Amino acid sequence: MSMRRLLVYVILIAGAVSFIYPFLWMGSISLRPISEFQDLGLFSENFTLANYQAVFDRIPIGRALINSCFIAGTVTCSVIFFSSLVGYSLAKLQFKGQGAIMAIVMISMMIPGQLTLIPLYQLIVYFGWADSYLGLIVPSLMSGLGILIFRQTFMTIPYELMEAARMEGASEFQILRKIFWPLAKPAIVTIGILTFMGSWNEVLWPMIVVHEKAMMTLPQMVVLFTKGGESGGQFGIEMAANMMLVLPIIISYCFFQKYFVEALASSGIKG
Amino acid sequence: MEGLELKNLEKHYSGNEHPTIRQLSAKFKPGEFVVLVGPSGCGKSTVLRMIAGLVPVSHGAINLDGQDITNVESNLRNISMVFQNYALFPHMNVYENLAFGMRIRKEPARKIEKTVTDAAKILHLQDLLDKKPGALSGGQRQRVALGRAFVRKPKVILFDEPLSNLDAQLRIEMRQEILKFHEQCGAISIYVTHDQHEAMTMADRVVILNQGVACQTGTPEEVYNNPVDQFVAGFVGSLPMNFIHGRAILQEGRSFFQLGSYKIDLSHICTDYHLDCSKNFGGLILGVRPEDIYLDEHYSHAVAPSPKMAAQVKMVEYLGDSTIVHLEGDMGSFTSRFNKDLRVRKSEILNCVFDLKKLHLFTEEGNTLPD
Repeated sequence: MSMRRLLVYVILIAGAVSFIYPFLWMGSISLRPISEFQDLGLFSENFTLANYQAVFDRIPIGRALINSCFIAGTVTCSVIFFSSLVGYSLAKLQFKGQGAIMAIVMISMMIPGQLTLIPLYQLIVYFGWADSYLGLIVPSLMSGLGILIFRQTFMTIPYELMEAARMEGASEFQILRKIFWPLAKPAIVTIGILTFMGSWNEVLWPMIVVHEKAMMTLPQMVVLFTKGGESGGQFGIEMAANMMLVLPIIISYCFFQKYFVEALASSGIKG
Repeated sequence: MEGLELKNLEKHYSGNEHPTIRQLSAKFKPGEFVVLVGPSGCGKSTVLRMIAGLVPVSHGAINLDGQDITNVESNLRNISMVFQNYALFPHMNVYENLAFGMRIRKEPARKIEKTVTDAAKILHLQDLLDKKPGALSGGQRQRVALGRAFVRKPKVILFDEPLSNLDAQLRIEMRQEILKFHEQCGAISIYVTHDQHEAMTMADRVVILNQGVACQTGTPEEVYNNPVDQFVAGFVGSLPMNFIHGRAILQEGRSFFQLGSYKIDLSHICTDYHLDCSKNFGGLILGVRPEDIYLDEHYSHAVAPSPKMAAQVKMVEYLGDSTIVHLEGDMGSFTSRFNKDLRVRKSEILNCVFDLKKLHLFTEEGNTLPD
């Protein structure tokens, strides 16, 4: 191996380690007693689940986990379903106002979410959805990015497949369900992961609409726990709570990674 | 009426100045194999899609077995279509592709299995039922597409240039397969192609379309031997017909085609109006097929030879079964198809004759001379 190549590898490995080490250390410290929190190494002879036990004892994190799973799951399914409906009609059907709808979708992606927080909150209060699942779910039922990715993916599917299905008697929804969805698996997985991650990691919106502990999401709970003082400043317990927050995302990413990369590469959209 | 009837069919696309299809009328008898043929953009696929119900009809009517189906949904017309790129569902295996329509129509599982198995047997697809379209060759995909049309037991099967994606050898094989399939189906088959060779070899009847208008309908022999206009004459035939522009003259009570000093007696082709044609048609176009040109010393007794004319060989194409020779003489440039044994060289001077009985005459506008 030439010196130059060796140097490249050293730089790349150093870069990779600088990214992954803090995460590994977080995992490690979450499994170690409080006395070791200043140790920057990854290994210890005293690994324990006590920190996780403490998190469960001090806050209703189990409930928050269920809330987050339910909300992120519902939002993800809804975004996939509704965005694919809109994406299908924009890509394959012809109707008046199609261009205007596409423009609205694009514009919706350009407006920062923070700008719409207040009007959205007023609406939620008006409907009486504060401190409820509806308040957390309804504003995220559809996504501009999802529509865009579905539209681009569906545009690559030949019209002849639709026409062949139509001649056999398939309705537009059957065409979507039986032909377009199976052919758009990478796009569905991509949108699924992006939406799930976005919904799972959302802190600001739950902080605004939810105040009851029983309705809180996991990240909201973890932020309140670590920053609000309930953790008592104990580093290991805070790290345990953080680990519980990120693990589902990492596991799902590992599982769907192949489709995810494939779809992002084919749709030309960068994460 | 039994069969399919198109009555004054028209298609206007918004934004287009002229209609894509104009006043198209045609009748198709049960069991008939009809080919719609024409150059690219002539509207033949639009006709097919109107029959299929995939494109709405602007004016006119489509009747199937006496019933008006012009505005009937495509799935209720009992018409199947074989698409140009086969339109097989790539995520389904062959069995599922064949069963798709029946599953949509919620037919009983036992019936689906029997129909698909029978179709697979007829089309030799038994060993491929578990495979997905991506794992099949072009010919196999074509057979699956035929199978999907077959399982529906339709009254009409539409073929939209189904062989255009195949190589030359496979095309010849698949032509036979499609004709065999047509016989087994017993339905009306309407086949669209831009390849006149495909049309002539497959069709019971040919409909020749040009710029949205049906120029001529007839058997391959009829359209080949008696083209109604210069377009049809030029379109039909594996080598285009030669057209020579000249004028009609009258001499001693007989009419002649004249170009420079070269004259051809027209009595073989327009005996009914020797004199009239000369009076009415100053300019004439003489049409002669490459296979109706002979070397002076090589024509048989069956040929009624024109006066000799000298022409220089410009290019020779040896095809194995025949030799194509591009010539240039006093009559301008023309192409002839000679016997495969003929050996000629570039720049050689040949004496050629036309078979007077096989000549075609057109007015300067490209129409045939009136009877």
